[in-house]
Amino acid sequence: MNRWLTPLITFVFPAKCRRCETPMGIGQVHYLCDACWEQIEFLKPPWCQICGLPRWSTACAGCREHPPLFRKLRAIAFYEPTLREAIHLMKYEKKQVISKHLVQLLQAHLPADLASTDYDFLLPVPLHANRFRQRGFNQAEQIAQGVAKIWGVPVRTDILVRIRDTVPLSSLHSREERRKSIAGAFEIQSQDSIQNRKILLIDDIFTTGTTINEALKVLQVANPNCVDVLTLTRTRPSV
Amino acid sequence: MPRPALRTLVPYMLGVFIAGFLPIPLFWIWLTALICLCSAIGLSYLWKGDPRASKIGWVLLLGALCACGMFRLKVVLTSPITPDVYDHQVHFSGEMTYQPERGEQWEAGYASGTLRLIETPDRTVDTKLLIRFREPIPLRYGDRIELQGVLRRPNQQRNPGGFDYRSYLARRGVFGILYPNRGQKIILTDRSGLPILRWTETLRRRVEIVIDEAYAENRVHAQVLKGMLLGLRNELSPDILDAFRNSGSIHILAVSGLHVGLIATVCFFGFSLLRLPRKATDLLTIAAVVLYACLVGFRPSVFRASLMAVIFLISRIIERDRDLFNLLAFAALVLLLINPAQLWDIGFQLSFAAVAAIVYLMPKWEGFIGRIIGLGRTDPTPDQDSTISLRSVWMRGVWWLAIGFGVTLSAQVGTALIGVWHFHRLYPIGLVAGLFTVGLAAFLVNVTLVSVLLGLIWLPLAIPFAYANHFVLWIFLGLIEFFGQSWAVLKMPPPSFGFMVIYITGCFAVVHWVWVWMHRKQVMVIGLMVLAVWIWDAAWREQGRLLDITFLDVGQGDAAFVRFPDGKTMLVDGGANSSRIEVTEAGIKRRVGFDNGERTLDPFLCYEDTFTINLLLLSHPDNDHGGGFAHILREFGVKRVLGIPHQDLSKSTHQILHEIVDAKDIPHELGYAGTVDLTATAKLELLHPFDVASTNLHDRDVNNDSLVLKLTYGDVRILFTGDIGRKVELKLVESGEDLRAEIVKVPHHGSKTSSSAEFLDAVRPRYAIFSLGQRNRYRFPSEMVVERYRERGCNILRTDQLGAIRFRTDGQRGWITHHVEGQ
Repeated sequence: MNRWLTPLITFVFPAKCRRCETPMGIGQVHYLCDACWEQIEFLKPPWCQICGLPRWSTACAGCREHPPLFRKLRAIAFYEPTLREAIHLMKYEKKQVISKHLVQLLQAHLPADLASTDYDFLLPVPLHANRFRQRGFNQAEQIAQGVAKIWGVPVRTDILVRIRDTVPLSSLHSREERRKSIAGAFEIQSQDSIQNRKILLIDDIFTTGTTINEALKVLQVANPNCVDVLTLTRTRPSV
Repeated sequence: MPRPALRTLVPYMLGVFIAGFLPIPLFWIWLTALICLCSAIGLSYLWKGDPRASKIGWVLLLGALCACGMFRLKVVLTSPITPDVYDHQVHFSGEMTYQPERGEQWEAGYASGTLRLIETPDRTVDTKLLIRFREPIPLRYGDRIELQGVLRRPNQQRNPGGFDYRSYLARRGVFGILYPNRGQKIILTDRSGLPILRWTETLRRRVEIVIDEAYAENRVHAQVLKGMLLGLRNELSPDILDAFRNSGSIHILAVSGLHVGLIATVCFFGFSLLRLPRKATDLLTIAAVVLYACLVGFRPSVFRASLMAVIFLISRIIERDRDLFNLLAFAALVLLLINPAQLWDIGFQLSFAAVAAIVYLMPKWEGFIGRIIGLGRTDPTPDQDSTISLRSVWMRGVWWLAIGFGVTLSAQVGTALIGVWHFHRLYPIGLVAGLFTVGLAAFLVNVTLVSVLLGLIWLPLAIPFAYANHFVLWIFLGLIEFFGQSWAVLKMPPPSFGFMVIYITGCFAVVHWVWVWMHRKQVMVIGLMVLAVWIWDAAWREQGRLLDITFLDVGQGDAAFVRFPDGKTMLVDGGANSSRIEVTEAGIKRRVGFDNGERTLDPFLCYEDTFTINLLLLSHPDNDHGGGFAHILREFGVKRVLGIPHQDLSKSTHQILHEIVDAKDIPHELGYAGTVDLTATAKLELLHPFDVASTNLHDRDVNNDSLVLKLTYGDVRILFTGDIGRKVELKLVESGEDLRAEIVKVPHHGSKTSSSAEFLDAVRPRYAIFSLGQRNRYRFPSEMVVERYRERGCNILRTDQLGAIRFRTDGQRGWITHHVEGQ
């Protein structure tokens, strides 16, 4: 940034980091200071080969007892204050800088055990048409596009659609409520394009897995070869 | 949140403010700035990293900013015209500045160019002037004109509480008014100026034409819309303007942040519908806002609002958080850097106070309402994704109504003091009216904007919108008229310092009531201190009960205000009223002329905290004595009237006043020689007319039926003589009454038919008050009469030279002050 423009902009638009509230100059990424970005803990192997949680085993006890619907699930980092703030900014305040930066983070920290050759296409978890119109973009799709740019794998948005406009899950607390609310929200448009394909399902956040599981259930009906899940963040398991 | 712009603004504004009151020489300002700056730099070099040094450095830097403010104001307010140029014939050539609010025909206009004195042609001055044309002429921005005329100095404030035209113009960089000579042809040479402004002016005219034609069925509607969209008020009829004013909705007609906000919103959503990229939408909206600002002219409120809107949109483009206070402060800083004298501009003050109050109070109001109706938005950024369930629609309605009320309330709270200070009026009904009118106004502005845009393409496209608008306008104007009741307006004296302190602390205490409750002990101490300030302030004002007489400068005419030591008040004559409604060829109603009652007496009385007049004395029913009384009788509480008998007289002034007095049931009579019972503190005697037989109010010579009043307080006597002539003067001398008086209001404005030598010998005044107008057409006062007074060792005091003349006395000693330094 220009050395004259920088002070002027900070003079007119003084900003504080949304998370730690330290005043910030005009930096690479607005809204959150560099120190806060550095605090993000990225998930690293060793991890459970299935659910991707950092465990010293190939498949953790949980996954062995209750095999999940996906083949493997990977997230970049835990859902902690910086990322919580960042995702809020991206989703609800529609800050494009943040979403670009998050995509960059994802690109830089793509899990090594996911490879482009493994998948036929990327499948972002869709938004309902109403919601999409309100928000103007689908954050999962943006993330998927970021991955697609690196891998050269197509992103398909015409396969999976959301047919019910549900209440945001973040406003519901019990697992049961969430499951009920989301049940039957997804539909597959073309069965053929899924059959025997290798799919990577992409979303911004993995909380209780309700949304992802619901999407997976619908996908499984069409007999895909395999479905993996990649999310930007996931909540730290309570145990 | 750090607010660098606010931190810069405060010392700078302080400097401007101080320089506005204290006559500090430029040299000292320079010196201060230099010393502050040098020592700040020196400190930062010598003691790097020492926290104390850095603190002192900051203070010095603030001092330097303060000095900058002072310096800037001095520069702006320094007149390029030396006093000896005034009242001389000058030749002027220059170009008209940008003032789109003047419409097609200009009665007056600002122009900047070169003045050349006719007598000494080698003396030229480059300056900005106000030119008052003899008749309206069609002009446009950038027109180069040449003309000859007399350069006059604008009038200062002539009466306490009155309007200070000289400062008003000086703040606009104008230090002279040019009156073209009679029969002077104004030569238009060519046109210059910025092409963009020339273009917007043309566009503006086209917009006006579109509105005129699309709303041709109802001219009033067209005029209101032009006022609302373009801030063009000069076509609106006076009663509609009054209704807007009384209902506290006049801001709808003054293009302000409301309008700029609406335009920005409409454009933003309009461009969003086109599915343009977000940044393109923002950029186009910026362009629209700038265009609109050009279209309506850069008044402080427009400039502030559009600057804020533009900065806001820029913050969206570069995706920065914005702090509204910092934004506001930055806008103020830019405006004050361009012209620091705007700090005294009413529009500037109102605009910034309203927005600051809204920005400060609204979050608190939202929290408060949220807690009450249980729709609290604890999350600062509401989840926009949440869908509205039917159950909460009702709640949302209540919520938005409360928010609307909160905005009008905050704006009123913020601007109340300023409004009362300048206009002596408070419009509390605006709180209620605003709920209805602002929403409708927003709708109207939007629809009109769309219809105008379509109409610019092809006029018939605008017609359907016009039909829809007619209906809404009909409701809107009905509401304005319904709320625009004159009884709903509160008249108030300008707030004293003590009251301002009480008001501001009171507001903060109400807003931060939780804090106040937590710290009630400290608050008690602060409260007592504030109360003490108020009491001291009130005591200071009340100190020394004196008899206080003010001879007001009402131009050509008479008016005097008396306050007796016991607080009783009396008005002796009320100046002329030349105001009338004029209908132009185009059918536009306008108020022309000047009503001294409304423009001189009213502000003066409000300024003096006087809303009841115990005695109103009309010497005789001539317009230059009684014209202004009509307004006073209507608007103020008058207890008793002398000089308006129960008779039908042919004088129109009498008829008007008689009608009002009868309608309001105020006791009135003519009054004959004898004592007037009003106050125990002073003696009031009517000396003339002697009795019914000697008066004949039906003849043409009513001057000689004037009431003559003698006021005695202790050893001091004052004689009010109306317009009596030599005939009555001699009769008074013959009657053997004790006519001696220390102060005499010179009869008949110093006409040569009055003030006979015999009368003067009987009165033997020490001070003679001449109440007359500057350059009046009767050529009062007569040189002979002035000489006659002077021969008798009498001091001559003329309102045309000194403005209002005030005499205070304790019964023995007296003090005379006047409002204007002699010219």
